[in-house]
Amino acid sequence: MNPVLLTAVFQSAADVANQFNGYLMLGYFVMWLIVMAYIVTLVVRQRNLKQDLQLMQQILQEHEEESES
Amino acid sequence: MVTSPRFDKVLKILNWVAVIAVIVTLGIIFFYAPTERTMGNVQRIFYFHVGSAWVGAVAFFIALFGGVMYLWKSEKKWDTLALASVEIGLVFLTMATVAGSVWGKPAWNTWWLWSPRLTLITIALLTYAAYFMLRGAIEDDDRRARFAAVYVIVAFVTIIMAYISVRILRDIHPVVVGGVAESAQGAEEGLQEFSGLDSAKMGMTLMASTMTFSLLYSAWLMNRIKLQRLSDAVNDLKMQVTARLQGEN
Repeated sequence: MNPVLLTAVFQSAADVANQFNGYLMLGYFVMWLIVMAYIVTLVVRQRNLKQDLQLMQQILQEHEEESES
Repeated sequence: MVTSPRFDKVLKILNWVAVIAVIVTLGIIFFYAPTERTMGNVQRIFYFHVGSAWVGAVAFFIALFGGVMYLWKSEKKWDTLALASVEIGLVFLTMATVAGSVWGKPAWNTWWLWSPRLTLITIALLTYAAYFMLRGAIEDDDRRARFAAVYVIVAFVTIIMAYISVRILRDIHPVVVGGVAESAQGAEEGLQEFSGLDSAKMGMTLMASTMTFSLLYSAWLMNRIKLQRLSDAVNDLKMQVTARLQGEN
């Protein structure tokens, strides 16, 4: 009997279920990579803006102090 | 302070709820949903693919709503809503496209096909990516917001076309919402074998996934709105600093 046919006959349900698990893992990995990348961009942008905000406030404060003195 | 304490409190709760919902949904997808008969476990990509595609479309609809409201009321908050929603919609649509491509390899034996649905999704992605180019090209705030509002309304046509394409055109892409009965001409020719929802458990898992992505969208939307308000505050301060420094000279 043809070995390919033998494999098909004796292939278990578990083999069929798991035959494309590599793609499943790849799919979830890439999706989570996109999610994490977006979260990182949000965090980085927020951190940079907070730094800018503090810097601007500091400049304004220093300017007010100079003009007072 | 760019946002109210109440806003921050709701945002914090929503962030945590979204994280918990994502973990629970992953559990449902991998331990509750049955294994699909012909494709096996790889079909589990489908729950995130459909969930993210659906929420992506909702995000673009909310952007459209923001655009309409801005044109009507001329209030900055609606422009901010549209901007935030388009950005998040693009993330979800990218996720859906990538997930679909990875699923397509074992299902169709190719990563990509220029079928009507996939072509229209590509057009939608490029159209919404161009939204940011448009915003970047206009300096005046009011003019930018007005042009962006019109653009985001017109751009939604691409989402509608992508949604109905599998129903009116011959396409290899399965029709999930509405089932095989409403599917394209390809169904009669055996192109729509996999409808995606073969059992009630699968349907419930898809619903859980869609709800979780909606929560994630809400959390991201609030985070993005907060970020935009922070950006606006920084820009206002920069203008003040520039004006004072110029006043000195």
